[in-house]
Amino acid sequence: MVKGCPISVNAQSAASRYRVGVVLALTLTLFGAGCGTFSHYPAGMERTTLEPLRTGRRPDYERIFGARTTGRDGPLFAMEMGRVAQLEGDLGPSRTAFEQAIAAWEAQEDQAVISASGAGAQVSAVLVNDKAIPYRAPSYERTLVHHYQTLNYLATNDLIGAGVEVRRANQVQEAARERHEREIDRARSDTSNMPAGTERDPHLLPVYAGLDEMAGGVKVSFQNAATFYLSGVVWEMLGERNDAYIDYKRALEIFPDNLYLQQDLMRLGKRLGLREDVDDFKRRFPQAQDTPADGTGALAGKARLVVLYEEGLAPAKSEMSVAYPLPSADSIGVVALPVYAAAFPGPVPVSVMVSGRRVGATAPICSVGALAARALAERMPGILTRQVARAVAKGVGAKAAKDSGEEWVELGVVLYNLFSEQADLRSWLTLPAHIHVLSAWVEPGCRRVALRAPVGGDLWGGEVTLKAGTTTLVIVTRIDLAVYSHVIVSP
Amino acid sequence: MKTMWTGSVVVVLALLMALMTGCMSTMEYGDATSMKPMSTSFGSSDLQQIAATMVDSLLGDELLMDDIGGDGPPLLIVDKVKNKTDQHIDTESLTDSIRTKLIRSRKFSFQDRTTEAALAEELAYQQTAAKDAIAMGQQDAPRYMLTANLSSIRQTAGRVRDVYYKFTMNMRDLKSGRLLWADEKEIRKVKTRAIIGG
Repeated sequence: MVKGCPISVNAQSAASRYRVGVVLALTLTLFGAGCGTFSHYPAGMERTTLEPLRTGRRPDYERIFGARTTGRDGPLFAMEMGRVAQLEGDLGPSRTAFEQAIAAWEAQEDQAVISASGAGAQVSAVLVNDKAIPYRAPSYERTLVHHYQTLNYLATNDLIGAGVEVRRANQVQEAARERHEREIDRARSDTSNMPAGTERDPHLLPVYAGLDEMAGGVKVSFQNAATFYLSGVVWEMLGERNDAYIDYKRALEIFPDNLYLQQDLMRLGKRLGLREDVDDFKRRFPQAQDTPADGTGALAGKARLVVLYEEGLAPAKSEMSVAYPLPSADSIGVVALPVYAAAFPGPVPVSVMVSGRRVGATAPICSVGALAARALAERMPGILTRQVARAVAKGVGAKAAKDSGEEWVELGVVLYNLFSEQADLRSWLTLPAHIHVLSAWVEPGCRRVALRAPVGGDLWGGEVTLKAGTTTLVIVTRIDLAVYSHVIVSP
Repeated sequence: MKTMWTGSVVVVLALLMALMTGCMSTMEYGDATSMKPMSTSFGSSDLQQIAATMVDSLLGDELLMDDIGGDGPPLLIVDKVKNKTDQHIDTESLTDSIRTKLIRSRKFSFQDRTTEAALAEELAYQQTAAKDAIAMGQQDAPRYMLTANLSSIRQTAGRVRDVYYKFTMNMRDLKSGRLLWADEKEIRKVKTRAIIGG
């Protein structure tokens, strides 16, 4: 027994060393996890990609995103890579990256309703944080993937491919709308005729207030007038005026004040002989009533110039800690929620000059920031449910650790809870903040087209081929000091 | 005892082999006309079905064949199939399948507009290099034209994804402008997501 004591003491000290080692390892693992390039997604993106894009330096997108496009957050990295490659004019890699993103979310949708990997991710989310869940792109991001993929096909004169992509974009928006309507119906039946919107958690009203402010007049996140407008342009290139008319109309429902949408609908409505619609438009939009039908009057022999002007970068989410009553633990917990906190600047239209003459100013047609804020508000109930479940689980764990009387266990659990409590800040960050359009009918020929900033000076200019009866698409993206552009002439 | 030991080893080895087989990728030749759908996407069996149905329908229209086949195999051109689906489909391959089957029937002859550039280059070369060059402008003019559309409608409800494809083909007399023949083939593919899986 005497001999046994030192052995026992030695064993205890070995166990203590082991426990301290475990705590240290756990802490280091958490710290290590926090040190990965994209562990704080907006910071990682800013350092690797956004900062170079703002100053016109080429991000090494292959090295930054390449291997990551096949991982857990593959769709997100593929979307970022597709967008950066397109801005840099690398249309092949951009197309491949977007195809990867689409294939990845199609695989997610084909997964069984209850899958081992899905359940594992949900369990991880409850034990660690929402970042453990594989990235699922919200509908507005999926729509914009097809939007940019349409531009990739157009740039290679593949109108059929562009048509496929606009059909896919419409499908994403239509499926999201149907899903939204079903959810509203279900919510109404569950809450005895409670009107939609009043089911928001009262403890999160400050969170929702910020999101509502940023979303502005955007009522739903999944309908995007810019993509509907691009669809209309593609349909017209394909000679499908009726389809173009429908998509312009959808865009007008979302952005009724856009003059170019009003003029395009008037022009096509007259061409298609839709008298009732045209009369209605004349009453609602007197400023567009003189627009003639396609190829007639002032439009005869003219070329169509469509400018898509993209401004800035989509806002990044930030983290907000909110006190929240925990149902089963009978206490107040703190949950970390993703929010859009920073002030979001509004769109600044620019003038478009053709051969030195001003043909008009760009008109905003989509605020990506507003779509992102609305999408986050729509997802907030699910995020909150997981956050609360996690807070309860961690509270129970901390109490059990304290009751165990083992200081090292308590220390480990406290450290774990502290470092693992992080909001999911992932979102597609290379998207623009705002999209504007301009549509004008101009004299054909090779002409200098320029975009002029409100303070004067051209922010972009170039020689553009304008052919009678066809469309030339000029896409200009301004990100702080840098300007990126593509010119696509309809075949 | 030794027999039991040997038996156990055999069973364990058999189990291990079965497990390893399940983990290995496999590669084998498949039937190009297999009707087994792999997904709701447009696939090779859909292409084969459509090509076979259209060719059978066209060749089986005896009245039409009597009408147009009086002076030997009528000369056709085929327009590329218009893809109105939500998938990037190689419709040229579909056109090729239909054209090949019709040529092999010996009841039609074709002009191939997809190789016009190579043809023009060859004729231009002959004019400068060949002693018996084929004179320009000697080709027969096609009398008939085949046009086709492929469209799709996709619906999703709960676990079920339903994709409906419709292929429509027309034959037009280029002289009179009349449509002489038309047929369509519908394909419906339904996928139900598993409730429990990996």
